[in-house]
Amino acid sequence: MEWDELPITRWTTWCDRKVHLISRALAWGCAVVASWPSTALASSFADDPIHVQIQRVFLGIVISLIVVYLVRHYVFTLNRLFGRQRHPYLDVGAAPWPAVTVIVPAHDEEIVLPRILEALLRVDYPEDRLRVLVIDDRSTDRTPDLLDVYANKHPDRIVAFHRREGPAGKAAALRDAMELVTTDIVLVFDADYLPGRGLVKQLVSPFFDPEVGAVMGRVVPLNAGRNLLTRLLDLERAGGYQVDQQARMNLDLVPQYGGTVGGIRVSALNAVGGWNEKSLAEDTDATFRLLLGGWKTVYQNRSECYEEVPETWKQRIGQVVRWARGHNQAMLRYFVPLLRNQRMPWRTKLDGALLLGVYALSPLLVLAWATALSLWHLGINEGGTLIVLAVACYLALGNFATFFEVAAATHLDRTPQRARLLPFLAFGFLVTALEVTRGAFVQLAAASPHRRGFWHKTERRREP
Amino acid sequence: MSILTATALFFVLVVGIFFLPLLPALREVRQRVDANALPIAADGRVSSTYFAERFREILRRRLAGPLAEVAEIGSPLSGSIDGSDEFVVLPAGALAMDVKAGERMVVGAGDLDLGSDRHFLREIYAQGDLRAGDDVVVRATLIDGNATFGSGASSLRWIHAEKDLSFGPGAGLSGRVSSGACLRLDEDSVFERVHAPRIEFGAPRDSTHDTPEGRRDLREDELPANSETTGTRTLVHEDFTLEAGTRWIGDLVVHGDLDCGRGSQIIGSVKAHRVRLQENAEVDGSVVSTSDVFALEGVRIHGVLLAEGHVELARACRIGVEPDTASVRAHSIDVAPGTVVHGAVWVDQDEGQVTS
Repeated sequence: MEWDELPITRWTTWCDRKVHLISRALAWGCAVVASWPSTALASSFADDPIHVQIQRVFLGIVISLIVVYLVRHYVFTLNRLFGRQRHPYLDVGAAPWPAVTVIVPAHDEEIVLPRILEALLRVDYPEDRLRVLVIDDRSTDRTPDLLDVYANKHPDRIVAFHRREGPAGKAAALRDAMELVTTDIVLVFDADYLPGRGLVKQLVSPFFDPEVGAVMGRVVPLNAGRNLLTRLLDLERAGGYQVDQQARMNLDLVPQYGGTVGGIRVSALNAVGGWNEKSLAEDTDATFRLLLGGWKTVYQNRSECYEEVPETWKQRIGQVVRWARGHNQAMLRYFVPLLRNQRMPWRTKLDGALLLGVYALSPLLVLAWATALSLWHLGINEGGTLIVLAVACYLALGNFATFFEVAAATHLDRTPQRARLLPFLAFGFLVTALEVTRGAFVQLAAASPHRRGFWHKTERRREP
Repeated sequence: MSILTATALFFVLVVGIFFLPLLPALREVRQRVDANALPIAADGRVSSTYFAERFREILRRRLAGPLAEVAEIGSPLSGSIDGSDEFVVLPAGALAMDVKAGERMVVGAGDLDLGSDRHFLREIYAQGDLRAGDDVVVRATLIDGNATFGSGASSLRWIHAEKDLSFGPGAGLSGRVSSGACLRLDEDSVFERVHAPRIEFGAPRDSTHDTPEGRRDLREDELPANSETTGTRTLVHEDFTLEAGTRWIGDLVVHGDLDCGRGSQIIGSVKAHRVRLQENAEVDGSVVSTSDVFALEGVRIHGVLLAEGHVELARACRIGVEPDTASVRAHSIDVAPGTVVHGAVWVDQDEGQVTS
């Protein structure tokens, strides 16, 4: 067969085109919808006092942003349902497997540490090419003792790193641990995760691609059925990984490295400055620095690993506020460099920018509600400000695109009964939006470039 | 109707509409029909010998007794597992077709002969070697020794031989085919997933082209102007041709098509859109393509070959270097006779075929 005579017409290609067309139609439709509030708000614009003009412009911008995110959800979901699915590194059964270090950061993890170490000792990977490096970062429980027992029993396979000084926090611990790493590939698992036998090979496979700087696997809640919150988090995770991350992978956009059940190419990370210990979300930080450095982060949807999700609202709120603060920090740091990058395709820039902005949307939305109310009280409601407010609430708290995305994830996971819980997600979104907003304002108030990191942990429930 | 009644009805209607979507949700919360953790992929499911290992476990637990008995008495023995899965255990050297074994599990207590033009729609196990003539169809087969199939053989789900496994021309191999030593596929065969320390497509042969004596190292200033080098990796932002007889040291990522000239060499891994490796080109690491890969005669790839499109391997290609193994994975694969792969060749959408 000649170089230019390839049979590329396949069913998937046909689907791709359809999805592309639908996406375009959606984009145009939403652009029209987005322009409506702006147009409405702009009527008699010039006659308004300046503070009203500012409020109108702000409201128009926020609503347009929400519509952009709405389109993004639809594009991702349609891609997952009908588009070409990319799993380019799946099922590499035989390979010259490289030496790998699995890092397990642990801070007071006596309940779960033995289980992950047992699981890692059982993985299907050449023993002489796999080392487990456990960071005991100032644990005050039995973690150091348990770790020493395992390290003494398996001196060739488990290395104990008792960290007693330096800045606190996972990023700082990882940065220090890298001095003990001699391999070019590291995988990171939080201590409460349970890797299956084949997971290490699956996560290492993408590194045969010289463009890959980081890889992310799929996280699956093990305690999904514990209560309503865990079931809602299970749905959220399904939507986030099964649809969002895989769609980004399919469309060659920006899958995110999540800090656990994933891996990093050390030479790539070092080339972009190593772990950023000042970052509150070292995973997001690494994703964007690698992206700016010309390295790809890839997602492996079938590299699945169980995790424990928060079982109380207090834990959940703490977790999501922490993520939001780290994410917003990364947004401030990388938003402009991302948009100014000359080499990156525009769609990668757009997806990266939208990914950076996901947690900034909630405070913007709350401000937009306040603005809409303010305009209404000022009598500026001829453009339908209340309708705009209603649309904004609907889009933020329970827009159909997000439900569609989660429902699609349950369909893809072949667990359709879970979709019955979708209406409850609206309450989850409301709590998240308000708490993320609160966290953002607290972050702004306490902003300090010299802020020190500290360990954030979700309380472990699993029996030892 | 009074205003009060109308208001009350309206209120009930609004509340009803609001809570209607919550009814299935409340039911699910109470009944917990689908509340378990999502099942994740079983351990080792990607292993080429996964099904063979499971079958061996069944043999060990349920058929060890009958096997030992037949080995001792030297005559066939029939029975069933849990009253449903019928089996026949044959003594060494028996001809399976003589006992009308087509729809029963066939267990050989030594060498086993499947005859010719027969269909075996249940599992087969041979404690010794297995021989099959032309046009034999098997579904799931485990062989402790060597196995030889004639022309036109078909395997419907999986087949694993601990030693050598060879198929005559025109074999149709669905599912997983693996061998613990050497796997031979002849011309006009089609396959999906094959795995062995050494896979021979047709009779192995050497390239008819000469490899240049000395290769000239390509200098960085010979790369396109907008190339970027970070550590050992170089990014090229356009199509790139590596001249014949030249050598590049380091990983190479090409945001376009890559053409490696005759006898060229890359000491590192490469990634590009389409990749063309001309005669006797050599890649010391992996080859990754977001589209198609064409490897012409005598190409050697020491690492894995991953393509999101089509792969063509011409005659006398070598993938993987013993003792390390490598994988070739693509949507569709054409392999010319004379090529050897050490490791696995997995086709994930269409099929692989050995051309004639």
